Amino acid sequence: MNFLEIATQIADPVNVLLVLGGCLFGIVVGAIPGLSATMAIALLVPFTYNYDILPATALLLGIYCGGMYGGVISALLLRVPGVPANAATMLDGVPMVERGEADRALSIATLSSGIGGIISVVVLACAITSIAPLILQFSTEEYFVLTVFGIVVIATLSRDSLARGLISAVLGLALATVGLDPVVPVPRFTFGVPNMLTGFPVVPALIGLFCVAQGFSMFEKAFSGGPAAGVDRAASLATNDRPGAAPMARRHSRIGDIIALRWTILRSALIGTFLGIVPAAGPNVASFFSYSEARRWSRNPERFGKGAPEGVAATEAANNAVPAGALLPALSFGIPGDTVTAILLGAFMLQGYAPGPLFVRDNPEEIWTMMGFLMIANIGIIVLGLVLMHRLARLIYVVPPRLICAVICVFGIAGGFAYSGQVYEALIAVSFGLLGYAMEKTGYPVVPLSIALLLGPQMETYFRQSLIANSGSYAQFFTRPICNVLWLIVVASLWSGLRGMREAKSADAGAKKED
Amino acid sequence: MITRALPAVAFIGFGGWLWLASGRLPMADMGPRGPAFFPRIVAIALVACALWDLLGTAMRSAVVGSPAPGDTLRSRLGAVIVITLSFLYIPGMSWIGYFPATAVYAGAILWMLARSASPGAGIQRVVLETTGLLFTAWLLFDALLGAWLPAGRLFGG
Repeated sequence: MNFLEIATQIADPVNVLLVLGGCLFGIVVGAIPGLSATMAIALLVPFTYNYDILPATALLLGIYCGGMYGGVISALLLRVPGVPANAATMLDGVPMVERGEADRALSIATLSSGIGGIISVVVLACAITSIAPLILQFSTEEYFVLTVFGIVVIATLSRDSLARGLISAVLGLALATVGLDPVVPVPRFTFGVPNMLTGFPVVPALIGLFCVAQGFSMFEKAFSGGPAAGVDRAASLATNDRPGAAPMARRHSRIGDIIALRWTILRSALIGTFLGIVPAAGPNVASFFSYSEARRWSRNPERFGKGAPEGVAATEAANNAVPAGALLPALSFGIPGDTVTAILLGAFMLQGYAPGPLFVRDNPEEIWTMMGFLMIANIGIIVLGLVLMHRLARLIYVVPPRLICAVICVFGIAGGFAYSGQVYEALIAVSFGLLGYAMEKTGYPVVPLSIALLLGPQMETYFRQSLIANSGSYAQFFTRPICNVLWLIVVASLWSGLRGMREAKSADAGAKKED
Repeated sequence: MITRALPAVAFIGFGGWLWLASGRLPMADMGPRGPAFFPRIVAIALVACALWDLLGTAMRSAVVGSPAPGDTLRSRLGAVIVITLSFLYIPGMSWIGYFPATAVYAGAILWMLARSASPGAGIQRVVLETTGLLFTAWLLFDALLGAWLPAGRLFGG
């Protein structure tokens, strides 16, 4: 491994600019309520088609990190979380803003986000090098069970109905069977359309599910008179950062705050990294879990909920530690832990990467370069966040939601065909947009479908190869130790999903009785 | 109850179709080596999950009775309009070219949203926003990316 070459690639001015540009775009999109890191990545993936692998990766990782951070601005100043994970930040951030400490709250959030991200990159670097020998012991059986694990865990996210989460996942698997059979060259369900021989193109499909569907939903809400991007403009009047108001005063030491909060940030970053590795846990669970841990470890737990800086630091450090954690299963196993990593994996595949165990073994330079980009992105969050947070807060007020809606629809559909130049792919983007919109309206989660669509071909290949190699016997899936551990986790996830669903139902019933 | 159960019934139907269509594939009866093996497993799983969902919907219907909030006739009309426009936009690109089709598509979206927010909304603002959006699309897709954009059969593209 040539460390000088890796350092040269990381420090390449074009790559650094792309990471920072992506980071800025992610922050802006994340700061707009209703839009997320997923949307930011889906919108910019088409622009990476013509790039080389490393610049494309630099841009996408910058967007990922920036998008995770951006939501805190609208969460604190508009009281509308940019992403759901920011709801935990609001618990103590909003009371801080209300007592005139808006700048302090945003500074703590920004610095904690950046530092939390940097800690998680260091942990990822240690983990990915030590996990590589273990991954290489996996065979087709383990990979099959691992894909089942990845899909089932995501499907159990649907707390309203586990059945609906599973239906969404199975529908994704069904759609993934379209195209040439992976074992014998027989076309399946292509209806004689030559374009369908290669199956549904993953990136246009994901752009449709997460970008075009969101555009449809925003248009519908705006057309019927609702807030298109979930922005309650009246809420902004409660803050002291609306246009024309006095600028946020800085009467505190940023460094002093961070030194005082160092253990909270470190603990939360470790929690965020670990929960990022677990598929489906993601930034929401990480934020709330680290918040409760910060409260448990605090000498003054009674201050939580009333504007405790530890609350803001804990949630933001955990939230921004998730991307590096989520990259571990994505790069080493090819299993995306959430929607953003699913789109990232799709984009990596388009660029010629094949994330998985061999990728980790054969491409250590790329892995280390990615970590360097993540490090730059997190430093970028600190610099860009501290410099631009006031201007970004004002930008949220200026952009009309209808323009956002039009941009999402136009760029989402165009993004569908920008790679291959085939209008067929734009049709895929719109069709999957309609599917995503219909599923959202009928209460079926879209995320399991997207993960299953991505993992389906691998799952089928591993499953059938294993059966063929073992003369049709299923025993090998239940006799290998790693398989058994993974099956146990699958069963535990299903059990936990069922229990969560029952608890949510009984809580709803209790609330209705009280009403 | 019927409206809520419809998706589950549709999934059962889709699962049934997947099973039957898999059976019609060449080499369908070759076990794990055949192309029908995995789709058939998926079909069984889909039908089983959809039946579970249907059962759950039937049990929930005794408790929940009100329609989804915000699901008004106007919002449904909005959804139909934007989806129809999006599906028309694609053949539109092939016929009149990317930029004219985008101008019509984005202009229609912006105009309808402007009118729904304020019936007296000026057309000048919509034209300005559409022009800005077109310029951005040209800058990003054509000038920077060099992406292939349909010129339109009408103009000999």
